[in-house]
Amino acid sequence: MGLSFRAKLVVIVGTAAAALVVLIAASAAISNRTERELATIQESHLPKLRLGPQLQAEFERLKRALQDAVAARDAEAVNATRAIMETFLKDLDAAGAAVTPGQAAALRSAMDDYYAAALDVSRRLVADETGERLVDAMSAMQAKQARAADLLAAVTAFNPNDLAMAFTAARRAEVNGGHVRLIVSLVCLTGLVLLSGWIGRGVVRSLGEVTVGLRRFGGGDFDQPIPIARGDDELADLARQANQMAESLKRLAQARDRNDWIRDARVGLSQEMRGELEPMELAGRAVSFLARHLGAPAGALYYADGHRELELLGQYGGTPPEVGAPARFRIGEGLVGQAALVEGITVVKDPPTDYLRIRSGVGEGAPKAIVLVPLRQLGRARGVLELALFNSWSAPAEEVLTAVQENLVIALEVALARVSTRKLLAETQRQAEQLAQQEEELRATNEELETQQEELRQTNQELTEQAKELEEQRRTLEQNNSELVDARQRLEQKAAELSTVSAYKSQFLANMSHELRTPLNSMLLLSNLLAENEAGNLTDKQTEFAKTIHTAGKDLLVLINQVLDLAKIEAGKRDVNVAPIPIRQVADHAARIFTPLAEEKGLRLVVEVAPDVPAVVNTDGQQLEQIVRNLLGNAIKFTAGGEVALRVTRPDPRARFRRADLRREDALAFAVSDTGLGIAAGDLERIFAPFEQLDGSIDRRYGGTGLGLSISREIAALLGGELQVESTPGRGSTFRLYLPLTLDLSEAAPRPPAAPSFAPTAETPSPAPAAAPDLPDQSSTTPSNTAWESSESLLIIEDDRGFAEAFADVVRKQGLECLMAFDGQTGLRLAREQRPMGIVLDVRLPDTDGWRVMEELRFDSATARIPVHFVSAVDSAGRGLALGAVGYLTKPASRGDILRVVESLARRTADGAGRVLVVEDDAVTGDSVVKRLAGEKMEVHRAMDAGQAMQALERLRFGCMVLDLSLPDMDGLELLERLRARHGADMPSVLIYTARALTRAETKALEAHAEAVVLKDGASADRLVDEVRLFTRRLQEGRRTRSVNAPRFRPSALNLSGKRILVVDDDMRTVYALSATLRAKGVEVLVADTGQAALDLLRQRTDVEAVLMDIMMPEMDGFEAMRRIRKEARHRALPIVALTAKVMKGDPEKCIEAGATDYLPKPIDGDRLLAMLNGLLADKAGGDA
Amino acid sequence: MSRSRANAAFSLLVFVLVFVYGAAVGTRVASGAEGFRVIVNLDNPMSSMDRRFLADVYLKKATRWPSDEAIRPVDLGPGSPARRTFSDEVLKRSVAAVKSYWQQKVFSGQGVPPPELDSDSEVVRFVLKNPGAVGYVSSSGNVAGVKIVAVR
Repeated sequence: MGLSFRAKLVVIVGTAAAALVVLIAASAAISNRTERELATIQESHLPKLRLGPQLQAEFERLKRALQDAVAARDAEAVNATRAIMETFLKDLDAAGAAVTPGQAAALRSAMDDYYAAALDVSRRLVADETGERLVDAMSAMQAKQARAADLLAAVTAFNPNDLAMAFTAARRAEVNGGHVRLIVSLVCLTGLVLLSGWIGRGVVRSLGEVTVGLRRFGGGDFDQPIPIARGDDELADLARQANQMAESLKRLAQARDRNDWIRDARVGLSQEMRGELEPMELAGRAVSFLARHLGAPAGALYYADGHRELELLGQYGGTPPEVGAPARFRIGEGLVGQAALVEGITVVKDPPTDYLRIRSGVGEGAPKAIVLVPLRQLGRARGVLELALFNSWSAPAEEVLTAVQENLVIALEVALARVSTRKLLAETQRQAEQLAQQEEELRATNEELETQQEELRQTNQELTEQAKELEEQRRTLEQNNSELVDARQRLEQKAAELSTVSAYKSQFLANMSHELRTPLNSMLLLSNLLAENEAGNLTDKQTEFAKTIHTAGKDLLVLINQVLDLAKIEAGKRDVNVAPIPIRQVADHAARIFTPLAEEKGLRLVVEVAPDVPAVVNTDGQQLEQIVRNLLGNAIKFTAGGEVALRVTRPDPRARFRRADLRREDALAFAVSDTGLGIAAGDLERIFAPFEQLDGSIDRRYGGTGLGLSISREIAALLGGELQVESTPGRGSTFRLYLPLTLDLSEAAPRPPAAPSFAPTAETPSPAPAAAPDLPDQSSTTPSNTAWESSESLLIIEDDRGFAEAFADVVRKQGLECLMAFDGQTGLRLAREQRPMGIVLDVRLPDTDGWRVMEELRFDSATARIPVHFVSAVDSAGRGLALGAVGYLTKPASRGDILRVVESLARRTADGAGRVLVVEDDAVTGDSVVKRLAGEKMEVHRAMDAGQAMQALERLRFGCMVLDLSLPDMDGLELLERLRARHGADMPSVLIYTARALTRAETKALEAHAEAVVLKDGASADRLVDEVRLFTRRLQEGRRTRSVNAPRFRPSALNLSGKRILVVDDDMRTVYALSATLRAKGVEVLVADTGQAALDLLRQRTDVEAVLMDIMMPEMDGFEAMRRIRKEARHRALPIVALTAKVMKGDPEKCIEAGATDYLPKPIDGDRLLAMLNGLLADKAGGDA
Repeated sequence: MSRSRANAAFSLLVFVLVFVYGAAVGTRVASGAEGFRVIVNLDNPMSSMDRRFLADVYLKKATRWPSDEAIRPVDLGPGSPARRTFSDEVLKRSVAAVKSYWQQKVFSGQGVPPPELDSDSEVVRFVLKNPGAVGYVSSSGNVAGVKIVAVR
């Protein structure tokens, strides 16, 4: 069969596919038949199974519904049965193939008949119809019902045989189909197997033949080809291709042999030419090798010698010497010369037999061919290789020559180049020698350069030395600088010395006042004692004398105070505080003060303010009031009847001023006129001179020192104004005080005081100590004199150690201990453990910030009360104060700043608990008192009237209340009554501070309430402060003040009889006076004239119950004596009353610090002393019990 | 004397008792104002019939006379007092129960009730007309032309 292999495959696959199609078609036909049988079952028999019961059920439901409707006699329900009927009909319609259309129609009409009849009967039954016709209708209905039921049964009748038959048919169809499928499959399979076997046999045989042939080729036998199988199929083709491949392989083997030969030639030549050969030898070897390899009997090699001539370099073979090869050719000359110019190999075939004969031992012959190979390098003719061949010229030989040509040229060139290189080497050696010589010269130059470098280094050294000199000069400058600093320090020291001198001066004045007051003290005490005449052995006349002595002594005391006052003004020590003063207020105040006194004397007091007077005057209000008070006091004093007037006006145009800087248009006149004695024109000037009064007798009649006007005039001058007087004897006098509207301190006051302005209230304490107008207080401006308690400490929380040290230095100089913490936690710990009196707190700290530390301090009850002063490089004063700091210092800070901080902290603590309420309606006086008290390290609150005062007392507890009797809303006395009723024992001690001249009745009333009555005038401010301080401290020490206060005004009730009291004083007059006072009360008085004597005496006697200790004593002063007494355990509780001359600020504190239980100022008020002693001894008795 | 008076009282008591009993029996068997009388066609040989049989006839459980004649019972209307009495005493069922019984029968196709006639005269006419008929009328009704049968 001539079919191709592909055709055979197509036949097999095609047959298989056809068999498959037949199979599928048969299966489909069988399945279709089975499907039809099953569909019949599904569509016809199964619905019938379901439909029958369904329709029967609905039929039953219909009947039941009708019956129920009739039973219920409900026409509506009867009608509602139509729904069931419709459902029935719908289901019947849906039955589809299960019911034949004929059957369905018959059933439908039967049902319709029945339903119509049933409806009719039902309605008639519901309508209660009776009778035979109804019964007939019922019967008819039942007939129709029976028919419908029959039809329904027929329709839904289900014959199980039908179903069984249908299933049987389906099964039979399936079985038959299976048989057909099996037979068809078997037939197709058999056919396929036969076909495959027949085709496969031919293929296997052909493949066998091809395999045998290929194995042969593999063995290298290409000669016998594979027999081509009959037929033209793919296997025959394969055999043909294999034969062709064998051909190709055979050709390739031959080519390989030839290439091997060529390669051998190249390799052999290379080996021949290896080594450093001279050109001649190289050429000889090359020619002989090539000749041998190609089988040439003779050969020669010509090579260019650099010119246009070719030189014979080597030859081979039997060239007869007589013939010989010519040694040279010119290029282009002869056959050799020509060959050199040609690209390819020149072959001369079959040269004439006499051209060349080659002879060997066995014979001779002519070569068959002469071959001339040009040797070219880069297209340039370099030489020619000539070979004579016995063999004929062949392609392999040509290839060999072509192949070796290049190598030969290169080798020859290399050899030639080597020759020339050798020549060049000699040349190079010569040049190297020259180079060495030049190098030597270079070295010499280098040495020169080094020398220059050395010189440069020396220059550099010189420069360094100059820099050192400069450094030294700088150091000198620094030294100068430090000397300057030293000089400044010396200057500062000088300044301190100066202030010390000033302090000495103050001390002198104080001492003088002491010296004056001490004898006066005795005089007052003794005269008072005499006047009391308790012994009853004095005549009335003598008693009167004693009283006169007492009065005169008191006048003398006033005089001394005024002298000091005057001296102070003249020395420029009086401070002027300028503030806007409402004129109306000054006038009203004056009126309020003097009206009671004027009325008592039967005088009319007129106070007027002219309408063109401005509302305020800028001046020192307190001083202005002092002048007005002096003038009015004088006027009232010297006027027997008529009126006294204060008129505030613009200056009269006729007024003339002695001061050049006082101008009428800028001035104000306070005129005080009276209808008194008047002054003669000649005496007008004299009255201003100190100690002058118009008539000596007036002194006796009216009392007074005559210093008032002098002081007033001095003050007027101090305020930049002047005091003038005009008077007509017998008709009265007019004193006019002219003041500038605005007091300019820089012009008006020759020595303006350098006191800084005060903070308005004590809540924000002024950093500077109060510069009080009193003489002794001048010393307080020197901080070193401030008495701190050395046991107390300040805490500095600050990470800047330099600043902290500076701070600590100041603190220690103040006699305080200083604690330092460099971070917040340490600070907090120290604050809790040490309870410092104040804390200086930096805002920025390494571990936390100052705000946080502040909050923690405030949170801890142990540290909450410690005043804190912030220090920071950034200004956040508002936040600091909001947290409750007492102040805020911005860095950098001067020493003065630091000092102020320390003082403010120390002051805060010393009297922190001492709270004072100042009740004063007059702004000027109130401010002044507040300032004075604030300067005394007290917490001062201010009330403008009685209402505010009561509110303040409701809110806070006060140690002391300073009260002005003249209040706008309530009389001072009435306020006291109310407070007494409201607060009782909790009421603070009350100090009456008033300018009002008190009537006798008022004095009596007040004595029932107040601790002390203090009159308002410049000099009494000291006493006010002393009293306040005394009260507040007593409160702090928890002493029962009432026991001291209560008996004060009932001296007769005291029982000091039998007490032993030691009086220590070097001034025997005082001793005598005190002794007399005390002995009069039955006290046993012991006396010691020095501190040492007192100590000795106390050591001897154990029954001393109290000590009165003078402070200013020679040898050992009172402070030292008290300290020593306190050192002995049994005297710890001994009451000691210190007696001071009431001169130095801070003395009371010093006394208490030294160990005094209490203190009394000199001159000593006998009543007060007795009251105090009584209180102390009563305390002691209570304590002992 | 007292003895004769006691006898008289006893006699009176007996009389009263007898009278009351007699009245009661008359009401039940013969007829009172609300009583009924069962009637049949004159051709019907029966002169009395069992109550149970009569009940079966009216509930159509018995459909043939002993002579194999079809029985045709007839009722009075449901409002009639005789019907009520008949229903209670013969059928031993209330009128409503009977009605319900028949409604069930009617709608299930199992039979129809006896016709209900509105008056005694109609019943009498029905019985006259139908030889197999049986009916009842109120005791006061005119029964001329039909035969009254006793119910045992």
